[in-house]
Amino acid sequence: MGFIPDRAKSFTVYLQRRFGITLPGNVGVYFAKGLRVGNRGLMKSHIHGELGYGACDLGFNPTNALIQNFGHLATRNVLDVEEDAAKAFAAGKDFECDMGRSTRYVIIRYKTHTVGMGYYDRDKKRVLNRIPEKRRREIINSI
Amino acid sequence: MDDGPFREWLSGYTDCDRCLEAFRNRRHFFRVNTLKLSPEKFLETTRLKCERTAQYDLAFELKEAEGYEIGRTWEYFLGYIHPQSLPSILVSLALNPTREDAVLDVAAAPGSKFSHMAMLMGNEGVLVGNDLRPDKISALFATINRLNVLNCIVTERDGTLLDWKERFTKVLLDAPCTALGSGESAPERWEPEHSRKISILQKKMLFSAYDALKPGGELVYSTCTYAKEENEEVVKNLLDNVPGAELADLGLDIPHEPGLGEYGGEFRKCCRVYPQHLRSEGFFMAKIRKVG
Repeated sequence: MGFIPDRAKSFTVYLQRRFGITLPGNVGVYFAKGLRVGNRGLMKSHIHGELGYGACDLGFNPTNALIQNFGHLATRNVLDVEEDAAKAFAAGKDFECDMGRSTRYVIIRYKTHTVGMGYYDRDKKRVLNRIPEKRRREIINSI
Repeated sequence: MDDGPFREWLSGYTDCDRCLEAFRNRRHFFRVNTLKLSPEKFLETTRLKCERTAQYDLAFELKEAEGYEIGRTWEYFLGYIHPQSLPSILVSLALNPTREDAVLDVAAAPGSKFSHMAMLMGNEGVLVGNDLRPDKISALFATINRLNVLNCIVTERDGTLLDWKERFTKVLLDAPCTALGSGESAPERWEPEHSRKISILQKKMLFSAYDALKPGGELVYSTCTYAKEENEEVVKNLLDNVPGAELADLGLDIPHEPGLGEYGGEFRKCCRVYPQHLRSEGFFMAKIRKVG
């Protein structure tokens, strides 16, 4: 376990550039079996284990958990959807949409709530669902 | 099935009829997760039919809950709420962890009390969640991810062999137990010898948990069962064998019955919550202080 400033810093810069997300001051990104997000005080504890939760997969793609918890801070690459689309997305469905010529990760938002992470495929003109299977739910009520 | 022997056994602790009747008609609770939104914002937003409890501002009773799948609501999906029984919520309140604490949860999965403690700590300080089995660790991470727990470190150790001498200011041991206070099937599952067997494990875990506590620190021991072998007897075994361990008041203003007097007057400080007290699960709680 160790703190690798370059890699952690690169990821936070990526989050800022891609989504406009600046993590709160008390939240840090660490390298410990991959990049993880957690409270800044954790490194002082010297307890060996898994800190916080995963920040990204291979290639700096933010985890769905990170996006669901900090997606409300995003200012770019956010797709606002209606209730039916939000419900379908929460249940794990992809949806058709034209977001232009660049393939990229996007945050799906319903009202002020971050539903999850999607991947826009410009060739298919679809947003592919990136919510992990175990997190998906058939939602029954409205908010 | 003849539940006579179970009823007779339960009558040794409390009013059996009231207890079983209250459990059958138990209420469903959840707590608002302030790591994701404020209670005011929650009330402004939600369409769940719910009512705030008298015992805790952030705990709500779900109304018209029969057959309602709270796990399929937006509120659950977005991590705004967490379904949890009221006595289970009270366990974390009894430990009362703060931002300055280093806290250990010895058997943390699936993470209800663990995430509640993170909330009480405002995602500050250090919260270590331990469990033994990989499938349980996976359930713990699902809770951490959904509820945005950021002050945590997860470890995978045998709870009887923690080997963290005096590292934590507060420790929670919600021990594996026969769960006779939390299941419809309690009369069928009950076996007189089962509690005796599991109490051996509980005693070892409590020694190990106590060892991890700093002098002056506090430990809460809890189970969701009624058997004295898993409750007072486990605590008594620690008090008898470790100098400097003493029982402390839990500081909870809730209806309950005290711990069993046959183990000593100080056991009145323990708390036995039966289903008839809060129309919820049955729980046992004890707070132990390590005199510095």
